[in-house]
Amino acid sequence: MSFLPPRLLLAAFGFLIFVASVLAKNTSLQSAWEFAEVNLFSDSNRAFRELKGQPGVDERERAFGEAVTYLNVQPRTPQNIARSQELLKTLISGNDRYTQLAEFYLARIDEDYLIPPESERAKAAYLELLTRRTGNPLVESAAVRLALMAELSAADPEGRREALLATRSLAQNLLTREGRRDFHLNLGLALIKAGDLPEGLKELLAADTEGITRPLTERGAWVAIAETARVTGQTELATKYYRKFLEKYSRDTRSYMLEQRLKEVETPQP
Amino acid sequence: MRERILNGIGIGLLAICFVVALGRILWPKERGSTGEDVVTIRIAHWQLETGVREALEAMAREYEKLHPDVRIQQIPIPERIYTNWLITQLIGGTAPDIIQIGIGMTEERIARFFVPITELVEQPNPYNKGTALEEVPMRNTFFDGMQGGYQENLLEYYSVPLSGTSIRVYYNLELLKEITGSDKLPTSYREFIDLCKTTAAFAKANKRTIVPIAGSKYNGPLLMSALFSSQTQKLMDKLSPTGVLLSDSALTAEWFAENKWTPNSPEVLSGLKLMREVSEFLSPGFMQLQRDDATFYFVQGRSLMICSGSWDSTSIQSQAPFAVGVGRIPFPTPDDPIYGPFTKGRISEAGTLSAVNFGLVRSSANPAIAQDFLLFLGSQPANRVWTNVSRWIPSVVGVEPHPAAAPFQPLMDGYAPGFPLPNQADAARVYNTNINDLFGPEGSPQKFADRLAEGLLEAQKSDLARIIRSTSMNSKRRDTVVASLAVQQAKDPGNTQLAEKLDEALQSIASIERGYYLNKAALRATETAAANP
Repeated sequence: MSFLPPRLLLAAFGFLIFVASVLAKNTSLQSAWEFAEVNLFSDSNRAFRELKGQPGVDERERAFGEAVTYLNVQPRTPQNIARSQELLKTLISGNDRYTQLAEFYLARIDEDYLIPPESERAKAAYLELLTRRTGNPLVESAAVRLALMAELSAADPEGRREALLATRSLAQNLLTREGRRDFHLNLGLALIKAGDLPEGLKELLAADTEGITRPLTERGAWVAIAETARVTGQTELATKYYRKFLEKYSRDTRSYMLEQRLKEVETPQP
Repeated sequence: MRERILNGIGIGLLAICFVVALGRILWPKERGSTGEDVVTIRIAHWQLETGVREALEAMAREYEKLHPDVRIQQIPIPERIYTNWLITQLIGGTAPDIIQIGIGMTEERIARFFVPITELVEQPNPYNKGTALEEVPMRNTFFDGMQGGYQENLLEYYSVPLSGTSIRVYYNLELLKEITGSDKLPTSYREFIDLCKTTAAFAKANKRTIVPIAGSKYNGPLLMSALFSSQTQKLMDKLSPTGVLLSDSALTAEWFAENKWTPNSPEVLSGLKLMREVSEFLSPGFMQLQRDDATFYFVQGRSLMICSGSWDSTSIQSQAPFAVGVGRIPFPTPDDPIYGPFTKGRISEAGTLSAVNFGLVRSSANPAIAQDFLLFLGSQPANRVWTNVSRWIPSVVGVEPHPAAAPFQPLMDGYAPGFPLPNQADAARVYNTNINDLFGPEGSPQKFADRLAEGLLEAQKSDLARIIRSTSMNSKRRDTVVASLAVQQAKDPGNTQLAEKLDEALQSIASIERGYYLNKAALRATETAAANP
């Protein structure tokens, strides 16, 4: 009968403890993210902080978690925002997903967390991120923000329209379906509001082609497409979208009204 | 000696109180699973209206028949103290297993104390076995796709809805017959106003204390705000020819700042005129009366009508010693000689969401059984019991409403409402402080419109600033949530549920951000208008 040498046993035992510790730490990072997912930001932030320096914990992921949870730890103080910025800045020197995300969140802080906001710096950072074609849908949501900022940049409809059309080229940097969809949709709605119905309609159709999955958003987009198509004389397109809407969303405050509109566009004009 | 005895009794009583209090604290925690192998599940709610407690009792007994080892205990809490009670119970860890979600709930409380049921509602409900819904994911078994149970900002379903709601006009049928010789309810606004006039004349001629419509600060606005929004339907279409056809407070504010509508616009004046006309038939001083006063007035037979929600139906019908008729709010039709030009027609109720939502509390001592009971509550057989006993509208598709609930079923054949009068905090203050200029004896729509024109722009400024702050807070909360989802999804790319949740979060954020910037645009326009009167 042979026995494993005691040293080997000890090493195996040590390895098992290490593996268990790594697994335990991964679980903790996971639970910290899960706290954040359900809006328990203070618990999440505490969990990320407690994981600092623990063996087996991905420090970049942990630091990113700590940084983004500081944004919502109550009370939301300038000190917490500054802590978040400091942590995010430590991450931008790397070359992984946390680098892009850190840059995105630094721009978000500039856009909406600082008093007064650093809008121009945020815009420049969003543009820079998009130029890098990251293929990350969250980072690509910067394009939506740039379109919305453009919408606000001019008070008159013509100025707004020009500013919005100037953002159109951003679409070429969007590699994800989600990024393209949300950008086209918001640009389309903004162009329609600015009075450019044909270009707005094109954008909305592009968004729909990418696939809108949120029912509330899809309802709004389909009504806007149908209505814009009707007003611009594209009867066939209007009919198609009125029908799509009524088939999928028969129970909507607008359904009866859209049924009437459908009848109108289907009735041959004298 | 006597003093020592009294002191001893006092201390003894104190000790007994202490022991009883200690027992009361410990008891609920143990009560989940008793020594008799019977598990008690507690369910709390604030619906004290007639019929609801009875319906929940009936549903509980049905469940107990299926599970003899489970007892369901109902805890009805008055609405007035519900929030305080709820917070104490949740924080103290003594909360019932299932709680009605609504009053006093913040997103943080829901996230912290309730269990998300999204995974559950994506599966068919086992209690629908043997019904047409057997194979249908639970969320699609509700008339609104379970939107009433969805927490938009938390991206999860948290509650199971039992009912639907609608607003209706209730009629005293005996009085109606006495006044008009018929029990036919009015179907148009014109008929409704004629009935009000006939009733007022009848009361005067017969020296009876009868008002046409029982009113209060609760019931009056329910009727009048619905009627007002019929007058802005066409105006909203005109201002937003290719919008999403639903009113939007930011756009309404921007149009107001851009002078595209004013309180003196013909449509708005017409809406105010409509409100004034109806107010003349409501109980005198209705804005000083409470909801219960109006109900009391109606069930005492001192008014012909009352406007209220479907939730008051069983209470009204059980208290009224006369037959009660129920009719839709009589909107002006496009052929109405006075109010027709501005309306598209009756208002749709198709977008009504399900209500009376129950959620599962995290601290439940028996989460599996509580969850099972929640599934039962959301099933077709249980919802049938719900409507038949409570006489409220069912929430599950395929459940026929009780005949008494049938008139409350949301009506689909109508148009979207126009925009309401701005009703945020400061705008509402302008409205309320000047309301006597609309409803008072010396008041008139024009006088009230002039008052609104004086104060609304400044009120809109502060209201919009407040909305922007609140939207920004909402958007900021999403920043952390979406970061969490993005990291988790990147680490587990095969997890389709996470991918879907991230996708939903991104679309939702884009929508919130759009609202944020629309409100900013509205505020800018309002500030410009205020600076250049």
